[in-house]
Amino acid sequence: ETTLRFGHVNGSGEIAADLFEEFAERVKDRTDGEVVINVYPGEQLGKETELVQQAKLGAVDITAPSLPAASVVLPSLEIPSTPFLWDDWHQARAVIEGKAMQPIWDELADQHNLIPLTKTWYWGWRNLTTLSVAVEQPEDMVGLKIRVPESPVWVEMVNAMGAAPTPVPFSDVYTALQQKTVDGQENPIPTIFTRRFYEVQGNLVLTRHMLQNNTILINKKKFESLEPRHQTILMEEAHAASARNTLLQQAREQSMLEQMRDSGGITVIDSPDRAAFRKKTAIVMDNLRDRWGAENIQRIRDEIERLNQAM
Amino acid sequence: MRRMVIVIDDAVVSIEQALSSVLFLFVFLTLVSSVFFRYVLQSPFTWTEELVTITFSWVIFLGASACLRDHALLRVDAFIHLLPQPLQAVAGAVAVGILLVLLAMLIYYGFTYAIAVRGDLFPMLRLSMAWAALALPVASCLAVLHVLRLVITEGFRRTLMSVTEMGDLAEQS
Amino acid sequence: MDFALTLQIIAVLAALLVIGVPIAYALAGASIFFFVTQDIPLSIATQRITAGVQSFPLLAIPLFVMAGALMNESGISERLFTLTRALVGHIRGGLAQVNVIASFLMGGISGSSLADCAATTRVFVPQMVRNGYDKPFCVVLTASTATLAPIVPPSILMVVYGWQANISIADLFLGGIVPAIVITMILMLTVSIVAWRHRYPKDEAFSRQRLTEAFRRSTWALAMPVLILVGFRLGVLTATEVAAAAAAYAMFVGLFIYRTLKWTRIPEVLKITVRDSSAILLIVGTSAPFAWVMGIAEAPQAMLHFITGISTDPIVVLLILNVFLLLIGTFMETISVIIILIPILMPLLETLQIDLTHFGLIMIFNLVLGQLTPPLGVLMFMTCSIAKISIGQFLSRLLPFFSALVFALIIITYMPSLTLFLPNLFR
Ligand code: NA
Ligand code: NA
Repeated sequence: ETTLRFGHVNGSGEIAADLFEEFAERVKDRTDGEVVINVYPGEQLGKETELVQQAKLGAVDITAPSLPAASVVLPSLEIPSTPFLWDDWHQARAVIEGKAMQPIWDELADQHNLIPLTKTWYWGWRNLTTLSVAVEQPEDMVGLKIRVPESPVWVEMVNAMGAAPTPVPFSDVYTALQQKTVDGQENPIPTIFTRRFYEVQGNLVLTRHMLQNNTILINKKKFESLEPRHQTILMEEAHAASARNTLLQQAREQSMLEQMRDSGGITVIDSPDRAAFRKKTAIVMDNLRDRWGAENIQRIRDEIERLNQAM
Repeated sequence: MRRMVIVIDDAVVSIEQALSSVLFLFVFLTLVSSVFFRYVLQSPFTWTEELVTITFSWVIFLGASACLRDHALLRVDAFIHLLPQPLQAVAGAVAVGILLVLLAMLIYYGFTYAIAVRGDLFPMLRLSMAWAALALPVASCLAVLHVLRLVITEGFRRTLMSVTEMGDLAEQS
Repeated sequence: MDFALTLQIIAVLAALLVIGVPIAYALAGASIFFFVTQDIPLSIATQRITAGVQSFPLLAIPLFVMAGALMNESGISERLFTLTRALVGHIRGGLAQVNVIASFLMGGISGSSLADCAATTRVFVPQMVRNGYDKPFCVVLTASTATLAPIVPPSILMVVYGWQANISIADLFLGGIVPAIVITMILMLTVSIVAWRHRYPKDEAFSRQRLTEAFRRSTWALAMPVLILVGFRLGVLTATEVAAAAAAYAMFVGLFIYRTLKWTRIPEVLKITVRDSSAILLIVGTSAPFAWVMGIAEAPQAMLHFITGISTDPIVVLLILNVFLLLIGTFMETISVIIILIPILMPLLETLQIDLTHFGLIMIFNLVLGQLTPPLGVLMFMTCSIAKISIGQFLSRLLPFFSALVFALIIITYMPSLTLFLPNLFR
């Protein structure tokens, strides 16, 4: 019997937390109890980036970070978080799982001892919320202080939009919004909903400016020590869980949005001028070329181009 | 030998105190200016949390090492004081031995960890995460020196005593 | 995992504490024991210790310690206390009552009990001792009243709980107000009883002239809490920055207005600040791998499983949960407990139809009470370390206040309307 430790940061009330439990159960069933996964949710073993380092060194075996969190070991993993990079989820999934991203996943395995059980885990499109300004155009954002994580993609993006990127630690965001230290923040719908940010914000602007994609990573040495049939089961179940997650999370995103709309406390702005935002933020990728690697960027750009022409 | 340990140790503790004070002043000034830049100049810093938390870990671990030397670390003293004096010295020696083993592990594995994350960068400052990770093992090295010095000058029984315990003892005698 | 493993870790911790290893290193040692026996890379133990202190909200602790030291050096504390004495000095135990109220007000700014305590210990204890109170009493009082900080909004613990339990944080904030007032009143009553029994000092009769004079002398000092509270409510300052602002203001007034603080004193203030805070923050750091180990060993789950299943009567279950949380809170750090336990407790609470907002208050208060007692009583450690008294002295005076707080806990537990009245009003 092998026991694997799976540490993640999602809390109860988030679909991922339930699906990770289910993943563990199904793996146990299908391996007749030979592979047992103990799941430790909700940041109890550490923050996202710390868990990535723990998985790399083998203190936990499996973790499920967002790509920007995983970029702590490999910055190019952040590329899929470029603002307005994707037309839709299908395109994003095809590229992230395709050959354009493969050299990056290979580097993660070879240099950092981490293998993806699934490369994609739909979390949602990040949207903007503000207290009082009903943002339709990038121009409306001038002078606003928007909370961002301390990370260059967000800083560059919010700067490009014309607002002032204002880092606030995640634990303080609710209070900072309530006391109006910042004018707004940006996050996926499920986060805005479960962290209750809509209680203290006036507008939800559906900018869909950035895709948040997570992944499930496993310690490479540990993975290779498993029997091949167990490896296959882990991969299959992670992929199945990811597929179920996409359906559930997208439905949930929709119903959470409707719940917030119905709550009456927050005005939903359905169609801000996304084209104008896309144009404004086009420089983000160029500004981060050194960090991400020109070759990596080019491969992914070419692939998106190719997919667009094939359509 | 004894003389040399004492001289070096005195120098080290002064450096620890001075350095941690200066670093803490830096943390304080950074926070005050970040409020000023955000609220008055409307142009927030985007790297405060990283810079401040890296510096802070050095403040704490260096400061704690100086605390060890100054008998300012807390311990549970109730049980020790139930023992007769000679046995207190034995217990003290055991505790010092355990502490030295622990410090050795923190040093070895602390450096191991710092090496493991040397390629990981804090995203905004682009500084290696080893800068934060080094504080614990470096300060633990200095703590070993302090423990040795206290054993030499004050003996096993008093090495890990806290200031309050020593105050109580002074009152009793 | 199994219960036996949990007991082993706790036994190692206890052994290290008994033999007289400093608390911070005893915690590290107990976790390292687990890492070694379970064959987990030990470098992660050092990651947890470093990550444990690399937290932005923790900065409030040394900054409040510094603010307190600067208030003393600059004479702000002295003027504020002269004023308070003129106001309530004629009441027996008046200054002690002020300590309670000050903690309630501090709680409205600071989100954590430790930050609250860091500021108040340095200011109150010396002043009260100078006015004839005995030191252990002052220390116990300051630590006990700091339990108000996470109950009075805003509160970091409520934000964490609201996220985990998936309920409104605004409701939790509102729900904390009445219980906080109840706790404050019970503490004040306790102070009166203790003050009367110990014949604590009281000044000559109230004098309007003395009051006016004291008021005039302390305008700048009085402006400090007001400015900071306003700055926070207007969103100029975040919760952590409030502490920095307090220190900056005290420094400014001392250097330029009262001119009582000399530039040459600043290095000493910094040295004291670093010493007082790093002794306690090292414990915060080394309790992080301990929490990690407890999480991996599934210790809280094992204990919960052991304890529940006795009854399905909500009144009894709440009683059991209170005892359990109080126990857990004595050896684990509060935020980790909330994160680990809420998902496990949720189904039970739903079956018993216990309101989650109400339970949030119960849980948070319980866990903060655990900070007052050994083995892992961070509030106790903090105040003892700053005020230089021993844990034995602290414990010898804790009983009346601890009983009062437990009494408050019982009231909050069995009178849900105290918590739910305000949230329901605004729903
Ligand atoms: Na509070
Ligand atoms: Na107090």
